[in-house]
Amino acid sequence: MSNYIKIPIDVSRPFKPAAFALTGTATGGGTVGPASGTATASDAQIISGGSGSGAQATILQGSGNNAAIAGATITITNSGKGYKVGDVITIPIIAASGQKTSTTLLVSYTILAGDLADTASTPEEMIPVDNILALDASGNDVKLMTNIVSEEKAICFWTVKINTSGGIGVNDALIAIDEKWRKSVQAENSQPSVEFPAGISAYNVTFTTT
Amino acid sequence: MGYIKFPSSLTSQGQTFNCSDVYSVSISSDKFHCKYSISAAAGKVVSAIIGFTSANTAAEAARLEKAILKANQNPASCDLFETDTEGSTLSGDILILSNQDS
Repeated sequence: MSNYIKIPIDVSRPFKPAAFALTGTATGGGTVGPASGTATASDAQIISGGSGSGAQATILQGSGNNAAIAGATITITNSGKGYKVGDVITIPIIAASGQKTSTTLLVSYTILAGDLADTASTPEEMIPVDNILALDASGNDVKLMTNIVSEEKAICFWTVKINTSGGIGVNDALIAIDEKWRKSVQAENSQPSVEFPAGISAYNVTFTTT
Repeated sequence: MGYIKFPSSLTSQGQTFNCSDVYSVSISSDKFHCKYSISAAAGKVVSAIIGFTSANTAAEAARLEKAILKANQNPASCDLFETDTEGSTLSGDILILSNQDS
C-alpha cells in the first residue's frame, strides 16, 4: 500500500503562534502609561498596516513605569496572515485604564524575520500515512505519530503547523486531518486532500526524528 | 493493518488508532496500554496510552483486545470502539510513547 494525505498550505505568512513577543523594538513619539504602580498588558489591539491582515497584539509597559515606547513589549495574540519582513505595522492609541498599559500616540513596528512563522514553500505537502499510529494535538500543532523509531530511540513524527487565527481550536484541525487519514487508509492508493474548517489553515509541515 | 476509531469523549473527538502490530492490551493507572512490536530502547517498548476509567477494567481490556484482533483481520475497516460497562469512559488523548517498560 502507499497511501498519502495532502495538506493544503497557506503560504501567506502569519506571525509566530500566539502568545509571541515581537523580537524588535517598537517606535513612536508618544509616551507609555501608567505613571506608577505595576503595569499590566493592554487589551488586544487590531494591527494596521503592512501587507497582511487579521493580527492583534497587546502592549506591556517596560519595567519601572518606563514611559518610552522603545521599552514596551508587543505580544502577538492573533497571528493573522500575509505579512512580510520589513512591513511597518501600527497599533492605535490606547486610552488609560487603571493599570493597563496605555499609549499617547500610534505605535509603529517594523517586522523582523524572526517574528514571522516559517512557511512551506509549496501550496501542498504530502504525508505518507501507512505508518501513522495516532494523532496528537499539541499547542498549535497537530502531530502525526509514526511507527518509526529513530537511532536515538525516539518516535518520529510529522508536525502540521496550524494557524488558528479564526479563533477555532487546533482540535478542529486534528479532526479534519484524522478524517482524511481514515479515508486514505480505507481506500488503497488514495490521496485525499485535507479540508480545514473556516478560520484554520496549515502553514508548514515538518518531520522530526529526535 | 488494522484501525479502530475512538468516540468523541476523547479530546480530539474521535481519533483513529492504528492497531497494527499491537501485541498486548493492559490497564495501568486508569489508562489502556497498547504495546506495539516496534523496536525501542533496551527494556522499553512503544505504546499507545489511552485515557480510560471503568468499574470493570479487565472486561474492557478484553473487549479492546478483541476489537484489535478483529480490526487486523480486515484492513479496510475502522469500527468505532465504545466501552460496554456502565460508567466506563474514554477520556483524554491517545499518546504514543517509546519509553514504556516492556
